[in-house]
Amino acid sequence: MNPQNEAQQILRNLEDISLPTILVVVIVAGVATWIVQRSIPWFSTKLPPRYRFYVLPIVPILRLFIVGLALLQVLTLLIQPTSQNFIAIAGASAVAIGFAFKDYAASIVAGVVALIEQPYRPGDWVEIGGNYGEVQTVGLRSIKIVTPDDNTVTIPHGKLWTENIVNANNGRREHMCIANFYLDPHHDGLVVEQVLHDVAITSPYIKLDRRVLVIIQEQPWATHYSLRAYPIEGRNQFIFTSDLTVRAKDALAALGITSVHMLPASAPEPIPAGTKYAAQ
Amino acid sequence: MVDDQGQQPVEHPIQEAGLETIEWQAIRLDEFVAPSEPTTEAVRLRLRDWWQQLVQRRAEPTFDDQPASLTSAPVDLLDYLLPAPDWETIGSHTLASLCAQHDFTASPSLVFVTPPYFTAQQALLKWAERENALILEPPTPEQILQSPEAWLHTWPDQPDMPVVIPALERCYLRHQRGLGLVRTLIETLGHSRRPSIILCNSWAWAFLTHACATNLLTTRPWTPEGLDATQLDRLFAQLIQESGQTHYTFRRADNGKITLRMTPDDDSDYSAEYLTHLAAYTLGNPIVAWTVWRRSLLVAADEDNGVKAGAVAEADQDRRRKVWVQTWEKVPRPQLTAPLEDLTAFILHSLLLHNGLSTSLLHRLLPAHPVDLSRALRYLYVAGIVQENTGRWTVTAAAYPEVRRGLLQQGFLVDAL
Repeated sequence: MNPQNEAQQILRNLEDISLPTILVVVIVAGVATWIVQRSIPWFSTKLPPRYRFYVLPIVPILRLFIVGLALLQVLTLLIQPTSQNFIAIAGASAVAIGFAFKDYAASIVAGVVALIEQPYRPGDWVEIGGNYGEVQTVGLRSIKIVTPDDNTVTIPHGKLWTENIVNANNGRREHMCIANFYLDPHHDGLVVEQVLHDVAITSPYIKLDRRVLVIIQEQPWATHYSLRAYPIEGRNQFIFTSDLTVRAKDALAALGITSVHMLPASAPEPIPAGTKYAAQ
Repeated sequence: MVDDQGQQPVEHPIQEAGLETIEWQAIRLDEFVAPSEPTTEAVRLRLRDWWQQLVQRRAEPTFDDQPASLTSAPVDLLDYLLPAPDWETIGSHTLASLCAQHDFTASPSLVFVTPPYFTAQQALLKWAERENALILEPPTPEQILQSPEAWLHTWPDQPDMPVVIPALERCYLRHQRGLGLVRTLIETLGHSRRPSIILCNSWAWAFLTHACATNLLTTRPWTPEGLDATQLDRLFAQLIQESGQTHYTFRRADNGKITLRMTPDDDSDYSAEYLTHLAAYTLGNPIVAWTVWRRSLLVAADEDNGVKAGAVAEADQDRRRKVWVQTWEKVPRPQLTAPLEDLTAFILHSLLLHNGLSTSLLHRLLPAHPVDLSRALRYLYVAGIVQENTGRWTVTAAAYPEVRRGLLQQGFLVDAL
């Protein structure tokens, strides 16, 4: 049997292939995907915020399901639905993908792994390859994160194989924020610890049932206080940290405790006055 | 007699008139259980509602004497029929009973955690007079923030003198410099072991337990119990009898069943469904329940229920006049946007934590521009969620359940009551 006949046996006869049906399947799958992508995030905004992290991860799973179902349906419309044919198609696809779309396929496989392992979900704050931001969407090939500077960064799932994924909240609504203070060492450490603790628990942003930590380290140039607390809403992390900083400065100033402005040894040399960038 | 929910109503002889006889027992805070709808009943009611919405949308239930149309009860009728009860007397009775039983030798501090809108000044004054106690007026915000020690030094130098703190929530501010006074106060009382009665708003207590370990004063503070449907039924009937308006009957607008038992004859046609919902919704707080109850009342649109209500009623003693009670799902409630905006949530949370604040203090405590703050307050005021009295903003009793629910859903710390 020549290869042309084999191909004809795998594929249905041209007159048996219903192009309108294939078109309908593709359109239905597209519409279903669009509805899922729009309706579930909309629905999540109507729920109490703590449920957002349970609802949004359903989107990529449903999308994968819809696309998989549509592909299967289109395949059965194009080829004779026998097991030999499916094996032959799968083998040919594997070779083609292996040569032409290796990275693309690796990302899709990594996307499936990501759906199972869930190293990131929509709403998580992650750092991948030096990019930090909130995961907006988890697609089949890539994720989109929005950085604090409002830049959208698309990161292929393939990074899963080579990069460390740092997830700040890991599916929870709140995550730890840190405000650092470098104070002149001549003060009562216990008083400052209490003041910083009060600064945290009096912030309206704080999640009060999570523990507030004040970590103190004596450095050669200052006493370093690290105030660690959780905001109710992870999205408020930067406002929360600013609020902690502003109010801590007020409380410390009232006690006459000053910050240290000496630069650590690792800091870059200050730009001499009179140079082009001195104003910065 | 078994009501339509399969519950056995407890007899309540409302003939015992007088606010002092109204029971609002004190219990330990950790024993507080908010009334809830039985799960099976809640599921049954939800399924019934869905079914009615899906299938029987057009089939309105009918019953004898059903009025053609109903309208909200006018304010003058409500004021005549359901004048504001003297909650102060009722609260004082609750606290006085507790003070009489408390052993101050074994436990010098009697802490009473008060639900929102609870007052008991009379009982405190009586106890202070009897014990020759010192009543500590709350410090000013400036004293809290700048010179807590100066306020503490205003106390008479008599270490054995009992102390009454009528509002611990007014002794702190949720500010980076606003907790020192309460800490010193607790330390002073803890060391001196002088007898003391401390009243603290439930929201402030929840916060101060986190922030200042106020639970060191006592591990088991007291609080008024949450009233269930049967207790609300008895309380409301008693309050109406107290105001002399027993010639009214309260019937449900959807099926005509009696909602409040005013006479023993009412038992035969009684339904506890509305009050069960009300008790669960208001977490057993009778003051909030009373407010929602007033908003639930309807009258026939064609009746003269205006300013002549009193005269008409007196001339019509033989025939009990009907007041209709709105179906629970249709009871008007102030609506909050969901989820709450950050600033809106901060304002409401702060008002509850401090039992009310002025605009200037709100500005001091919250990270918001004065214009944004005023705009948010204006929105909340127009929506009936907050009210202002002598420059002090508070959450309205009618909106309280929705506000608490909204804050809880957002993840804010809420009270235990």
